Amino acid sequence: MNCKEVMQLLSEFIDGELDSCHCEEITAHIEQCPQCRVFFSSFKNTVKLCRECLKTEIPEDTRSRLRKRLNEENW
Amino acid sequence: MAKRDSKVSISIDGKERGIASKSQPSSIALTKSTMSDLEDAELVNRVLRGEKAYFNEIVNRYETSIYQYMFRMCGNQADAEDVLQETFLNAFRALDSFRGDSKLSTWLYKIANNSCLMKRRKSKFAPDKELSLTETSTHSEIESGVSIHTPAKTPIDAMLSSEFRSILQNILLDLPKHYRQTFILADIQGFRGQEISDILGVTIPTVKSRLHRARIFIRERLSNYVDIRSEL
Repeated sequence: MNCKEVMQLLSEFIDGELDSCHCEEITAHIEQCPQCRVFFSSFKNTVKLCRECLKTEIPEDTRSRLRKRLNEENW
Repeated sequence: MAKRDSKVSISIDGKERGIASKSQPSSIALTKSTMSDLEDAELVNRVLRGEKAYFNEIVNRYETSIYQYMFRMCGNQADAEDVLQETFLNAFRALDSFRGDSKLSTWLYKIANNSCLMKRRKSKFAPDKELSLTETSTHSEIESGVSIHTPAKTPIDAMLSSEFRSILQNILLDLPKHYRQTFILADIQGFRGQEISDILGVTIPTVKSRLHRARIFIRERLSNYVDIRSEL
């Protein structure tokens, strides 16, 4: 597997959607290719950072105004 | 609205007026407990039978996730709130068209997307574009052996920074809409490929392709701000 092929499969790899054969090929390539190793690490960290940082709660005033609006519509 | 002649006059403020009076506290407790135990499809059935209070439970269940989705799509509270309100109003009006062959959450997200689209049409959004893998420097970066540069902040520092969250949100807003939708649903909200495919009405390979390209796009932009190579 070359660098391009590895890169195209990275999302499925980190999402656990590849069969064991592909996983082994990617793992072997990453171990011996420094550039892909760096790319893989930063790619995985990007997903993790976004998951951690972009969660948000609904503000209480937004929640209240939603209920008020639904009531006003006289449903 | 066909359901206005119901005997039950209910407000969606969490107080089940009309279902139980103050003299029946146990009934209130039972009703609340029953509501939270019910499957989505049963909640829908009850609302359609005229028991409007059950729509309150639908709102309770999905307001946070739909708000989060729209907040990340729109990038600000005011627009996300408008879309959220339209989503639930439209859902209530169209509830009798819910067939139950998809999950209620999927149906609500579809309505949210449509509500967002209507809002976009009223404002001046940039036209959607496609993202190509070759649009990023990824290939050349790998092939030339050039790694991302090393800004001062570590990922942990970054995660603690509200400024960083704002940067991340702006990167997200730079993503074309279809990619942004897919990325938010998958990587922020945790939906799986089949559910995203149902919500967006595209094939699973399209979902996978969009998600992958979105991740590459965000990774590249993010590397301008934080050293994302080290372990988190």
